[in-house]
Amino acid sequence: MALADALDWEAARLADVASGRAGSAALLWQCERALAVPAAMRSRPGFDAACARAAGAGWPVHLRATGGDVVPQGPGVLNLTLVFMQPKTDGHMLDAAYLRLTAPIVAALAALGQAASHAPVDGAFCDGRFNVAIGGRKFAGTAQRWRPMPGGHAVQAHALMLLDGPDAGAVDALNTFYADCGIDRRIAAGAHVALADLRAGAAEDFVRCLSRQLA
Amino acid sequence: MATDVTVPTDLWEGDLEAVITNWLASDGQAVKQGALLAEIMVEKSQFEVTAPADGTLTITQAADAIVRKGDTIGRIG
Repeated sequence: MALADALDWEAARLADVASGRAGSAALLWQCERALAVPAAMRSRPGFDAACARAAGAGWPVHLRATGGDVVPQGPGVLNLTLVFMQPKTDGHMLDAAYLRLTAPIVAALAALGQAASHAPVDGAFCDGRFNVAIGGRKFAGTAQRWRPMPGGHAVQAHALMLLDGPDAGAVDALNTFYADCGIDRRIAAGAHVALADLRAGAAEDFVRCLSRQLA
Repeated sequence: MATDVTVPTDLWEGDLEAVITNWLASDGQAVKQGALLAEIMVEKSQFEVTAPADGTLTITQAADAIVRKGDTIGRIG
């Protein structure tokens, strides 16, 4: 599906859950090559020029509602979006939502014989504590958006998983975007691991296992 | 009587710092209870902060400010 349509779907389902029209929703999706950028980055100096240069290089920029940092999208990326209500508790709500999002990913990797853990990874794009890492390299990145609703929050939780890559073009697009926005950050391709790096057919097997986990 | 706009206290454990990434309402703007006022980010999660009351918004912490749970970021009077 088109990235713009996926982002629209996420926004609509978050509104549905927050208003009580729906209890939860899930979507596995892939989209065209693009950069997905947190909307909060709009205010950075150089942002418009960075978007123009990225688009000129074949990486159109789309704004997304979740937190985090710039990520590449494209045929080598599989996305999982979960939207659900997180009831009020005494704490750990943020961690609980991340674990709910990553549990089926970790389980699908385990079915392939791959041990995974949650860990930050130096040099990875959109780095964070709730990356899903394999052998110390980033396989999946995660981010969320929370909206208050009666009794808790509506949560949009998103995971980006690497079927392939990121290739040199994606890494160059990310690093150029950072530089154009005046952000002192460098992404290294070697900080990541994709299913294609593990063995032939791993991506197809993973998608099958993940779909079973979500059913 | 003014009502504080605060960073929620029940969303995450510990003393993590958050950043106000965006104000979606302006200083001095009339707002309605439940309206989206601001976004704060922690741990790659964007939280919507909504108006706790009807009234006129006074912003006390600007965008990009570092905040913690319970901090007052604005007032509605």
